[in-house]
Amino acid sequence: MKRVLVAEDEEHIAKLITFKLAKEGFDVICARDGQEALNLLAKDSCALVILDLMMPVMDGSEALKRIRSDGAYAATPVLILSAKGGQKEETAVLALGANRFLRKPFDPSELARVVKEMTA
Amino acid sequence: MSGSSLHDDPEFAALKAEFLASLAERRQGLADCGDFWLTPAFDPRPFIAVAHKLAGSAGSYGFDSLSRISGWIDRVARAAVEDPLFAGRIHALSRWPEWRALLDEIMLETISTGRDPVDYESDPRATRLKAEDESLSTKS
Repeated sequence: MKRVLVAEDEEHIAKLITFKLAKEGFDVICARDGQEALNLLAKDSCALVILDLMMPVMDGSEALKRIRSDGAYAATPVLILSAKGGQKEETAVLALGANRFLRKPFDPSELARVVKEMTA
Repeated sequence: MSGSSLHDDPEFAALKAEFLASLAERRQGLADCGDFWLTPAFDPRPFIAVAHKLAGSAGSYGFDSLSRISGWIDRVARAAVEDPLFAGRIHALSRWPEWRALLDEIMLETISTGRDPVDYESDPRATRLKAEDESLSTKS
């Protein structure tokens, strides 16, 4: 079973993602901020990381930078899922090494499709 | 942005009910911010956080109008508090009680009916916010 790490501080978004991806056969683990996501990633390998941008403690951009600079998991695909969804934000996180950008609100079925594609 | 293929799923219905129940707590968060935007203790961040989170979550559960209006409030309020000109900030923040009242009303409407508050998109306060949000998009 492929593991997906979700870093999201909005509880109801995290629950919706977990519900949908679990139905599609993924093992989903959740973090409430970027630092917690890095801690989990250090313990468990993941097929994909989904990062929100605006989070307490450590935001998604900083977590993305640290993922890309750590040889242990630098190659892990990263999907940014954010309500801060301007072209400027998308360009910035893609430049930092994100693989895909999806805007909130999102269609859970579309999210599942993208996750399957990115973990194929 | 509806997740419409999920609407017959009882697990999704339970999650949606939990989301609806969370609106009461979010309303309390708004109440705690107060309307006293001229006082030194005023902190706009909790208000903007409520609007930002609603913009992202409501539409994902099928409440598209609630999501859109929250998104307009999030972006316009954020631009107001970040306005580099003091006069600009004061002018924009004078409308703070209006934004707070609108966000509170649409959450209450959603809690009461369990449906997306579609009619609020034609509310003059919402149409003004929409125009301002479009103006911000053009500038950036």
